[in-house]
Amino acid sequence: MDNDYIKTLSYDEKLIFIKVLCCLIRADGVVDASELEFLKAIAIHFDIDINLIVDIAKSAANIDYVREAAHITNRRHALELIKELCVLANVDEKLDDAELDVIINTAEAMGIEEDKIVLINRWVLDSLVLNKAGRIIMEADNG
Amino acid sequence: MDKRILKETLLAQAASFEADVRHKLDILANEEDFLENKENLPDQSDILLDAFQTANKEQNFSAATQPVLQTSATQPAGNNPTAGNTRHSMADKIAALRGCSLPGDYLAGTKK
Repeated sequence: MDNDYIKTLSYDEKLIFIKVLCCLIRADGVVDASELEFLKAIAIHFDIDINLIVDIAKSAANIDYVREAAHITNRRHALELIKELCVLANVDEKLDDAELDVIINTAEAMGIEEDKIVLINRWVLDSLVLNKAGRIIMEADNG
Repeated sequence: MDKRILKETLLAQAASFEADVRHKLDILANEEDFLENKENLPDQSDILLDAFQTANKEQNFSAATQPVLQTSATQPAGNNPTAGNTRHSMADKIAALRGCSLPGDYLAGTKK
């Protein structure tokens, strides 16, 4: 996926992204290995110390992600956050109702339309399908 | 959109994930079969070459036995009054192979 947008994020916006993502991971009460891998990848791409992410994850229960997301006023950044949330929610191939609440409430806080959520989620899933098919073909995944 | 409907839509999108992966793999497998079969088909270059050669034979036959037929295709510059006819018939042949119609003057300006 195109990660060029990361260069345009401010440090505060990156922290907001991470807080909301941590809230989504916590939402369904189950922490999947693929979700942790995603978070580690985010740390690398965002150039954020993993220890800071650990601290944020520990305090996820106390984060008001809706209030945090409302500070994202750049539409492009808002769309990218929704995209990352959809990736994280679907990466464990189990989409939970609580995860959907995080995505929908975050989108609402940033003024992203529901139709846009549907489109982004579809696009993300198509990418994940292609990625999984590729992993099976390359025998990195038993399918 | 109602929030409940939105959730149902998103869940439905995700529910077909495994099926979508299998479908994608099936498509790729069928493409592989298609490509294997395609190797047994005549090369498109051969088809085109045959088209030109056939057109050349027709030109020679026409020149020897038939009066020059005027067409509505744009006549190219040059002294050869049959050049436009040749290009027009070649254009028709190639267009027929490609399954579309091209005006005769589409190839009039092209060079080999």
